[in-house]
Amino acid sequence: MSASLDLFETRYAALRRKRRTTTLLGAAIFVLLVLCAIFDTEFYPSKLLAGIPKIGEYFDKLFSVAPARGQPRVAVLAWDHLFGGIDEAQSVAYWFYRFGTYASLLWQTIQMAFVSTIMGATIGFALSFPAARNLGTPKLVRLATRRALEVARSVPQVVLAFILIWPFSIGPLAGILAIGIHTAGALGKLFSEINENADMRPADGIAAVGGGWLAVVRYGFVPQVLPNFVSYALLRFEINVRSSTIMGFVGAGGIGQEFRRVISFNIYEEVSAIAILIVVIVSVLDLTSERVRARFMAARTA
Amino acid sequence: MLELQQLVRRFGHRVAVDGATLAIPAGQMVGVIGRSGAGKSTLLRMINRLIAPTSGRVLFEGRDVTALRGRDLRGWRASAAMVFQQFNLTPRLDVLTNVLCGRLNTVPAWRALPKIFTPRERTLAVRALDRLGMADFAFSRADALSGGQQQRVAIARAMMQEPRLILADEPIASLDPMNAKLVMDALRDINARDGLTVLCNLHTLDIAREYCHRIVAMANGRVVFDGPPAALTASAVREIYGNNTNGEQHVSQTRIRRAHSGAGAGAYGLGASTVL
Repeated sequence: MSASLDLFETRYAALRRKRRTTTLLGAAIFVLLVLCAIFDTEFYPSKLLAGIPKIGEYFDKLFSVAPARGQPRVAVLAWDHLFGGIDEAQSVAYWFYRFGTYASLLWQTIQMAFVSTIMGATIGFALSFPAARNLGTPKLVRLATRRALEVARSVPQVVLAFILIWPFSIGPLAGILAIGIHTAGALGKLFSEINENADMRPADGIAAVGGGWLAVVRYGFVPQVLPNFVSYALLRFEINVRSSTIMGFVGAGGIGQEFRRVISFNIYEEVSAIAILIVVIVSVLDLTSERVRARFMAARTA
Repeated sequence: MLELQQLVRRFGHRVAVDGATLAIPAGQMVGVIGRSGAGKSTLLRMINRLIAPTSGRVLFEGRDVTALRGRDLRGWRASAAMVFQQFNLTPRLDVLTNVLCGRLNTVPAWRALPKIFTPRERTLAVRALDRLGMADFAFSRADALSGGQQQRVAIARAMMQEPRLILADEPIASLDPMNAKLVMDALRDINARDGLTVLCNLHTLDIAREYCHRIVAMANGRVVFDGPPAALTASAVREIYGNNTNGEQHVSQTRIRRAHSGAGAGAYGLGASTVL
């Protein structure tokens, strides 16, 4: 008895040694990778510490501005001038004197996000069914669809916009297409995963009555998965609003072009004015779509 | 006439159905019994080709349905209506649409996709629902119904297919005795009045005895008994369920209280509780 226990102990110790070696080897590789990444990107603590105090400088410039070169700096946020007229330096009206331009560009930005989300969700919807593993799609079609979706979502949107400006010229169309293509790739993948997690019993039911592939999709899958699809599409809309603010940087429409202009001219008041507007709009849209999504989720579980 | 010839289905190394051969004349109500995993479900699903047989043939009125593909296969499925243990309705659709789904084999895609159904189809659907006492629920969502109600909707959907036979895979296994009786009565009514062949997987002996003209028993993928209920003797039952307490569980589950005591299990000398 004790001999067999000894044998057990020996074997157990050997197993533990083997496991420990594997763990240590894995940890060593991981640490090596982290170090490589740090040196490659020059993510050095010394640089980090040196830069931190300068973060405040930008905000200093925001909150106290020299009205002209050489003149003493004036506080930006102060009651005595905050609600002054358009001529009073550092009043809200003075900051946002180009509000009309911003508003129309912001509106364009939201419209871009909206159209590109609709486009992406529609394409993603159509492709999510042939891309799902549980719909009996021929393997070749399924793999081709999945690869196409991968390509669509792996090219960075700004790069895509830059390429699309060539054929479609400067303006929102290139931006919409760029975001739309990326959205199709991202949502197509998510939608196909939702399909793969769907309850197969309704689909079996439709197949058993002699319904074809389209009937199985329409009556076995769509009613089940649609609330989830809508929820993800709304989430994507939030993301796309943020993405479309960047599109203008490469000339693909929206508030981004104005943002780039004021940044390159160092017009700090306008940079902040636009940044604040973007933050406000994005937050409002996030909150709204969160509410709508919550209602869809509730409808789904009910 | 439905003929199964040497039907075999393997899943990897496991043989689910092992050379099943049966001939079922039109209009018969057949109960297929056996323990869980005996191959009853696979057998039924092979008939309407939800599962493809590894070998063997299924003939319906002389036509080999195992060779069908595409449109012909879907046409065959429409005429061999399936009723599932879990009902397999689409939960978020209303009852009427679920029943209309029974027509999807004949509805062209341009009408099926936007859910356009003709008044005639709707009339058929409401009649089918009415026959099963479910017309009042036509506009309820399918997932708002109880299990028994959902199964009656599923049978209405099967009737919408205007099928030649009904394959019911454990139709009452998830129902309480009261609803089980409603569902079995509905299947018997369809068999008797419409003359449809009904093949019904059951795991309870006494229900099979009460409702079916003929009992087919399976064990380990093979047909081990085929005959009228009266021929199902105690020794035959022991062979089907195995000579242990497990068998008793199968036999005594989900019993329907008899409406008429004369045809009770006791009449054959083996009431459910006295089998083993």
